[in-house]
Amino acid sequence: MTSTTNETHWITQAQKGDKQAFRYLVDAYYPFVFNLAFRYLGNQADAEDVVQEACVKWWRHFAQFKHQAKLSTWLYALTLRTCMDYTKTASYKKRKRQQPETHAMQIASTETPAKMLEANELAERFKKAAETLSEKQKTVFVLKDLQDFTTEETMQISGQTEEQIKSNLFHARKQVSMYMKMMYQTPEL
Amino acid sequence: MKAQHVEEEIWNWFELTEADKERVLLHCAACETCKDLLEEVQHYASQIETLQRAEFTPGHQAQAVQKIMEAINHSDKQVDLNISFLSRWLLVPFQVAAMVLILFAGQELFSVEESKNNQLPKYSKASLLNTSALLKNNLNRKKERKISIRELIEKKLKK
Repeated sequence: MTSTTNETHWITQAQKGDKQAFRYLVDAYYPFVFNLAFRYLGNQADAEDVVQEACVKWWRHFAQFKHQAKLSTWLYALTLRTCMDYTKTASYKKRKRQQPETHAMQIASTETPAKMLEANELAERFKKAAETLSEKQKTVFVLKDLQDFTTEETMQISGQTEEQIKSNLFHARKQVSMYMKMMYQTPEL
Repeated sequence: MKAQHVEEEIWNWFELTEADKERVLLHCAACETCKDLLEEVQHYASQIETLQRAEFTPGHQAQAVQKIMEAINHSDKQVDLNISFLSRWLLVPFQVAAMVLILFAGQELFSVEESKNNQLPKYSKASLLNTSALLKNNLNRKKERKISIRELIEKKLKK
């Protein structure tokens, strides 16, 4: 069996209520979903919480998944919605107010320690810049720029039209770039 | 070309088609501000590329997956509890109400069938006699009234 037919088999089994098959799917998709949540929220603890919540929703609503769409796209959309809901919760806002600097991004997969440091610093600045964006701008920025999805995929995941994506992307990039410039001029920010 | 439109196109440089890129480049050749902006966008793109290369791998995936499965089991138990609660407190009364309704409907049907079989007359003899007597009385009264009014008028005219 090829990997695609294998996956279809696991999906069908999981949709019938087979938890072992579902566990297999969670294991396979966890890194991708985690990456998206981490890039959207900017810290590991929140990303783990959101992924757990998204997976419970996935299990409960898996019957709604039709095989016409890709499972990854469906899952990314589910995770994104969970991230958006999570950022509106009081506990997230409280945690962000109390410990704004304790959950910095940690990039470990770059070539040299110097580059790793540089990448970590860059990630931290981008994270701060992304916090100044509106929800729709942040969504497009994370999907298009940080996750490197195509416009077609971004449309499917975010539910925005091509025109909206273009417009939000333009404003997001402009604002992030402006914020980055400002931070490099005043490093204490 | 409008300045705002060009600015948007430059920021969305990587989403442009080859023909659009050529057109923007032609414009940038004649416009210093747009040329600088294009350089700024290229710099932004290189920074983004560094971030795209970085993967944020979760530390303990096996543990995280285990936690997820536990959360799913817990949520399933919760759903089962909700269903049993519903069946206990809502479904049973609904079933009783449905049975009462069915019995009532059955009784009504039975009574209709019974009345069809009996074929009782619409009006009883006594009620018919009463009605005819009432009508006769009314007619008599009307006649009496007519006479009395006519007599009254005649009397008045005579006076």
